[in-house]
Amino acid sequence: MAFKIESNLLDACALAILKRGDTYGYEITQEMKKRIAVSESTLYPVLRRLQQEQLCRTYDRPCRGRNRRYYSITEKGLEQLTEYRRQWNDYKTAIEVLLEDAKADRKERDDDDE
Amino acid sequence: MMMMNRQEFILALRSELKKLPPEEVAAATEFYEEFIDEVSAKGEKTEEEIIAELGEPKRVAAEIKANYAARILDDDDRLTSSDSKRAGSKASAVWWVILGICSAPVSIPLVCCIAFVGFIVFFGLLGIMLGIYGAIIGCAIGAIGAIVLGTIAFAESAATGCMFAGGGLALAAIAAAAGAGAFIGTRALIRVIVRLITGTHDKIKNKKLTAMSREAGDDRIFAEKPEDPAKGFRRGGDDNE
Repeated sequence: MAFKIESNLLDACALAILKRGDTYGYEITQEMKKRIAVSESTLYPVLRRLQQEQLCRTYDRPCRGRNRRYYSITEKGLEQLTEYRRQWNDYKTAIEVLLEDAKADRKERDDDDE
Repeated sequence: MMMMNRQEFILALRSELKKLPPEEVAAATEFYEEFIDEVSAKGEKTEEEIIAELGEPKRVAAEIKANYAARILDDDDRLTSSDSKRAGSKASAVWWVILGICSAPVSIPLVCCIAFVGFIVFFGLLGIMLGIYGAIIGCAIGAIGAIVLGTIAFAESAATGCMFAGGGLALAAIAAAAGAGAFIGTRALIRVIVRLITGTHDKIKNKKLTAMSREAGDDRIFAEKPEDPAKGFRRGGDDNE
């Protein structure tokens, strides 16, 4: 893809996945990979960062004779996600205006001037 | 690429991360162990295939290290520097960033520039110190001269003598005060220089690590690092909103 995914954006995506329910590392990467090209080595630091910033917490649950580490979004994580969503919307709108509606926008402006 | 099994991959990753705190190493290796197990359990891919997809342990480790450095820089932005433990972690964060700069061949001229500026600052300070000491010595000689002159003149005119002697004493007081100030200043400066030299020593000690990451061709990943502190600042800004 031509666009590089910024780390805050990855944080936001991971939080959004966790908001749907607690899940484990492999599932999170699979969810993410369904939509965007990311690697496991990109996702581990994302999860670790969320954990360190207390945006998510982890707990272990035995599964097939070993432990599976589940990630769970915290209150702070939910707040951060809301903030990310708000900022992303502003950003998305701004870029869309620049990319798609640049012409229409100018026409509108010209009309206003007349 | 060399085929690796789960154990080899984890061992290689652990050895790449050995400079990080143990809890960071444990968290990372546990994550990758679990990941490999999860994919193996699906039965669609062999362990070797999964590991090949994960990529070189060096590259995986480089991303973990870059993120660790960014995170502690980020934390320190929010905390006050009075906490000495934090100060230590900041010093190591700065080291990680230096490591990143040194690993990128593009930025070697930058390192040279920084060293050059360092030398200029050092000799500039040396010049200023010498100037200050010269002025103090000049003051002291003037004071002695004035006192001697005043004592001699006192025989002819008490008023003139008093004026010279008084001026001399005032000059002597100024010289003494400035001398004390300069002494304290010099001591502080020497302390800073010693600390810098000790810092350089540590750097040399860690040179092995730099050489290692350079060999590994981590340049690309490390070169991206200057972005991360910027991210920290941006986030810090958001907190203030």
